[in-house]
Amino acid sequence: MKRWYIVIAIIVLAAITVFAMPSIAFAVPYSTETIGPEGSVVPTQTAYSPVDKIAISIDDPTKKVAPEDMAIDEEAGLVYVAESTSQSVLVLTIDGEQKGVIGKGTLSRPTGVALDEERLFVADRGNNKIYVYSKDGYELQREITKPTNPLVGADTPFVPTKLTVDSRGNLYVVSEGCASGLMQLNLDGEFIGYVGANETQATFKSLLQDLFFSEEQKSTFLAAPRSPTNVAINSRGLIYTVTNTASQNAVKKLNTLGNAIMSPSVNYARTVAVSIDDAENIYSVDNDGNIAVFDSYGDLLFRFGGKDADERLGSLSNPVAIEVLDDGSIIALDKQYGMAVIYERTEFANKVFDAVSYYKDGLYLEGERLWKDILQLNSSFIVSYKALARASMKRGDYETALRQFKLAEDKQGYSEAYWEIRNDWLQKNVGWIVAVVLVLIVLVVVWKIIDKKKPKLLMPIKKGVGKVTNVKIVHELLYTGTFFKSAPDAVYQTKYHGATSIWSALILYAWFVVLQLLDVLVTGYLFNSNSVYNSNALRIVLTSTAILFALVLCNYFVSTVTDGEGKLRHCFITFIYALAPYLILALPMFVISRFLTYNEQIIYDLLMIVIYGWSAVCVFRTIMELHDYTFWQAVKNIILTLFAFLMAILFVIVLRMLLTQFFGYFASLFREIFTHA
Amino acid sequence: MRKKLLILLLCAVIVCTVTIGIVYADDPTAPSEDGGEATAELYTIEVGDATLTVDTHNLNMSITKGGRTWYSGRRHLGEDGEPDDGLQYNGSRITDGVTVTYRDASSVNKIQQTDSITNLADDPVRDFKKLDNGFDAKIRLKSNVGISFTVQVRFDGTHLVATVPSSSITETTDNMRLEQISLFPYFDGSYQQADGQIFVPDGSGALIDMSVRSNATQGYSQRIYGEDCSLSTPSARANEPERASLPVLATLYPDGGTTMIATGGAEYCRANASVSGIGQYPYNRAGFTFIYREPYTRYYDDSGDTSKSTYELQTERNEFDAQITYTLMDEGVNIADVAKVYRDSIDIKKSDITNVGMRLQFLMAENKPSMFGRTRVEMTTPEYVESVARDVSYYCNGLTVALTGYQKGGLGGADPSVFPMSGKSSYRSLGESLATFDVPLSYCVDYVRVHERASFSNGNLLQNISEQFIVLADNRAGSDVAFRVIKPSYSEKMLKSDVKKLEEFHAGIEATNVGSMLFSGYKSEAFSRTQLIADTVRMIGEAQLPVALSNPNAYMFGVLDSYVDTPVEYSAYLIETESVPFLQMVLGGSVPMYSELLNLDYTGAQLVLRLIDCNVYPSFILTEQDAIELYGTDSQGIFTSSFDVWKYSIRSTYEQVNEVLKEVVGQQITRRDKVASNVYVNTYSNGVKTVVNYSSAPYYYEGTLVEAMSAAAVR
Repeated sequence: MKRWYIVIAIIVLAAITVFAMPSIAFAVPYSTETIGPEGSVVPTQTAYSPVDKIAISIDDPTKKVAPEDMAIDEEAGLVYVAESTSQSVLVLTIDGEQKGVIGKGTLSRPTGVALDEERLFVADRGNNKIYVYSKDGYELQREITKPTNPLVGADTPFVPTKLTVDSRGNLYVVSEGCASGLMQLNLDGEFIGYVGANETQATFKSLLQDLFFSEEQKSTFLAAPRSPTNVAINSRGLIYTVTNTASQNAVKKLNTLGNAIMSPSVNYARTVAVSIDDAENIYSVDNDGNIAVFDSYGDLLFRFGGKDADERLGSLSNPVAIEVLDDGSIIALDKQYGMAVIYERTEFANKVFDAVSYYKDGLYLEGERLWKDILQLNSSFIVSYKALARASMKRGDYETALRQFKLAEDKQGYSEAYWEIRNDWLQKNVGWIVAVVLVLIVLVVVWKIIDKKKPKLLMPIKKGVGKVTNVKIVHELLYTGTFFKSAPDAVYQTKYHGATSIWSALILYAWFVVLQLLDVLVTGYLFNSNSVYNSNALRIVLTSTAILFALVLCNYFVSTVTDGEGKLRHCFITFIYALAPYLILALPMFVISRFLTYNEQIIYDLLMIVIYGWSAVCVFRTIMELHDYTFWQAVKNIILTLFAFLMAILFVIVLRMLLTQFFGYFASLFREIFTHA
Repeated sequence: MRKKLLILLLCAVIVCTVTIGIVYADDPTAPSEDGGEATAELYTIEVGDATLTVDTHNLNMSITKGGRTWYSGRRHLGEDGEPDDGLQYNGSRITDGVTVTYRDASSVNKIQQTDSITNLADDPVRDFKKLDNGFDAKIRLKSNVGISFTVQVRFDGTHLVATVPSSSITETTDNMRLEQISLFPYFDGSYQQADGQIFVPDGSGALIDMSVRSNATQGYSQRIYGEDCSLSTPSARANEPERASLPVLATLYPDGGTTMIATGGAEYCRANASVSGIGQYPYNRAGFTFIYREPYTRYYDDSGDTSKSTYELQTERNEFDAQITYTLMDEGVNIADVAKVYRDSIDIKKSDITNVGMRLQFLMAENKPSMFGRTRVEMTTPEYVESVARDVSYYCNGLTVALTGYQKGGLGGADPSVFPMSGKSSYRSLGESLATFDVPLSYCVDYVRVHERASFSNGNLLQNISEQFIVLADNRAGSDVAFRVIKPSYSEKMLKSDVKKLEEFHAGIEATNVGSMLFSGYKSEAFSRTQLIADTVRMIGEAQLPVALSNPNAYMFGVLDSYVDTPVEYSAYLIETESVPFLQMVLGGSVPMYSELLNLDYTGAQLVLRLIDCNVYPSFILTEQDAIELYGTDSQGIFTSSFDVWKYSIRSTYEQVNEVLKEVVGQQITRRDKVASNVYVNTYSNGVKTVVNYSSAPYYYEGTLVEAMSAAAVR
């Protein structure tokens, strides 16, 4: 494996030497972002600096240059630019010196170019043809027109806009308006098939249309899948499609069968073009001039660039193409500026790419030094913690791995590290655990024996407990146990014998609110969906209190119009008592969750379902008993309660908007009066 | 009958006389009352070996000196071989000395019109007063515009000073309002691709090559000292373009050039430069435009809803004497010569620089949201600062320490002044301790902006012209907080209070935004940009303790002790071709200059070379804790800061910089040359040359090998 790296390193160094560029980085007109904690996008060190530009000019300086696409022959040091104003393909050196013009007088509106070892392919959307030129002498070898294969319907348009070519000479052509995907053609222009078709996104409306429309109506009204808008290929011949208008999966990697197998983790709609390097890292540019770099798994490494009205080198106005060179430099072609901008990797980016390649190959320990270097330059570079945690795991340093997995927000990895730590602890302490359990069992047995044979001995203790439980409020609180076991009986006792009170209910409401806070604070990291830093205690208290009281009120009002018998006082008390399973068992579950890993997740989930389910049953039975409803009456009552609850929320939102507008109107009125007074 | 005829004739004469009188009263070409000539003539003045010739019709000037001629607007031969003096760009006639912009204030859209003077009147120069050392020309635009002013030109053989006194400006119509005046906008310009460069004050300074066709579609145009946040909402992008902090432009040709300095009204002017090819326009030019009024959007709603706004023009004219001083530069002019001309024209406070410096800024604490309000995040303790300073001072004799986030709640939402401070006694002893090993300490303050979360009285906040509190977004990457602007009168109170208390802390202050943000005030606290400059200079000048300012404007150079956040780059506008350390040529040797925080944009060797090239000392932001602790705070953009992580890089950076710059401590750059592609040589006043090789190949300079991506001092 090491030899393989040496070969790669030599190739890269050779490429750098051949393709040397000016190396003074200019001021960077953008900030660079990466994925940080909690999936947020955070700033990072500059990964790419704009170092130079390739100015594109045409014979007539009075006309605006309109570059459409480019292809780069690194070996020859040439850049081929499809230029629609001059209706030709311009051949430039990396310094911008023009070396030739291809297709003058033949091409109409060239918008796509691609290269293989011997040929240059040009997609001409003006003539609806693909032109094939030799790279030596730029001789026109072939013109490819619309395939005659019956699989290509007569109505299917053939407007080639972009294309790429694989090592066997197969062309993958983006044809404007072709919803079936890319057209795969062989070198003779024969149709092989369609690949990479997009799917229509199912909406409620489209589902209804699909159900009720005739075939004719469907063809008229149902949306066709979006056509791919650009295409790229990697060194293994795998195709990547770009769909500019897609709201999800704008970039898709296809397998050899033409099916999508991967999309970048962050979707940037309005992506214009992509390029893939030898390590299969993905480089994309969007309409807003942002360049995103993803690793081969599709994880975002960097995002930078963007539009800048000030016209600064490095900003893009109307990007149309992107290419990556062997040394990692990126070239982005901008139609508005009529030039290509060259971005060079910084030392930071070089380290990231080297480290990523180690990580990809599972060489965690080998890449550890690099990841540490990266963390020195950016402590929020989350991918580093992930890699370092893996390295720590490999070394058996689970404590460190646990901390690093937490920083990396890799819960699966955290679970693995925690399992190891727990396992180690259990093995070390198994004797103590068994001893403690045995002692507890013995104590219980002894208690029972004494209680049976010499009950007087335990009387003082029992009396003490009895005194406490006989306190009214304690007694009422302990009544949750009755709701726990039999909600209807408990409701009956509450309704007719005052088994509970407003005060005990208020304490339970408070406990419910406290449980919401404890959920955030106590629940184990693996099972906690909330972050302490993103949770606001006051908001939690107000929200949960408002929801509880609103539900009680809604239920009461609904029951008054649906022949319910419950009074508001009883609704208030029994509603919270009905949540007894949750009130009693939630805290133990929060605590237990701290000692569990994902291996035991099913147990945890099952227990939580039981708690929530049991609580729901209790609430349902409480409503039945409280209002003296039948089963279906109770169902109806609950549905109406929920509906009323939603209406109440809507009312509050509308009221807030109206009040804001009301005060805003008077504020602006007064300001206008005073300004003109 | 004869009598009747006589009466008729008399009546006819009266009617004709009245008619002619009425007609002439509105005719802009009529002779002026004070006897001004309507016909053009050339007026020539000879001063020493220089000759100034001016066309009294359009103020087109030419100056001949030492075999070179400087034109205020040079005629060029058209395709037919005839002089093409009618060539215009944006309404401006090349050969006219003045271009005027005015607006119709009565129209809803405040229609703007820009024209050169001969387009605005048949004979715009109504009174041309010939003087031995120049001339005064009264310009009167056509009657429906109704604007008049006087252009005074004085020439001493090397310097040409053009002035528009504020007192000479009159506006006679109800609606037409003077907005801008461009004085000699084509002075020393050139035609099509020319061998030469234009200097613009972009960041540290930038050159525009006139010999290459630019891809840019717009020229350089920047407000000197920045835009006014009381009139327009400033953008808050990360990596904002650099501000034009120096009111100076220059043209440099092989046979000579011109340094242009806005010596009057710089706070109301805009520096412009353009080259051939931009907008199909074949001229290279640089010049200043003076702004007398600005349009703005008046909002009637705090939401910024544009449907509840009107487009307005400032009613009151900005009062200032617009003045440009042109210095004629001889053959072989170097950018360092331009810097010298500018340096000699301003007041700079001289500091004693004895060692190559380094600045370490420590972030003491921040705060982040938590379940129960905001939690203080302790990042660095004063004891740690002391131990780091002690360690670093072993190898760095010019160390200076700055503290931020020392307030009770940490940095985010803190009070804008130094006090109240958290743990005063430990900070007091830190100051005493650092003083024992000669490390100056300063506290970072911002007397201009206040964090939106800070508990600050609205009465002390400045409102914009629409009478709304000014909201400034934070342009630090990763931050989404907003700031308000403090009334300057209250800023002064805070400074005075801090100065009094800081005496016992053995510390100075390091102020951000003071002297770099320039704005005006309206209604409750009315002041002009000119007044704010005077007040700020006085305020800082009176502070009896060391003052460092962050990237200040030129008017602060007379009162600042050190310059922090020094730009070492330009904005890289497409029109620009090269960055040049002009700012450092002006201040270098007089004021210690520290870079922006390097660890947040650490590009390694290239960064070190840039510091050496610019004679700027490194600056880092540091913490005791790891920067990951800052996630979720307002400072989460500081993604790397732990001293443990940076100590080796800090030492290595300093040693590399010190190796070269120790030879030129306290010296000025007297010449800068590009000796090869990406290789630059700066010559200092002590004769030492620094060679900076940014290229990937080694370079020999006067027998000294300078390795690729390295620098050397050559005696």
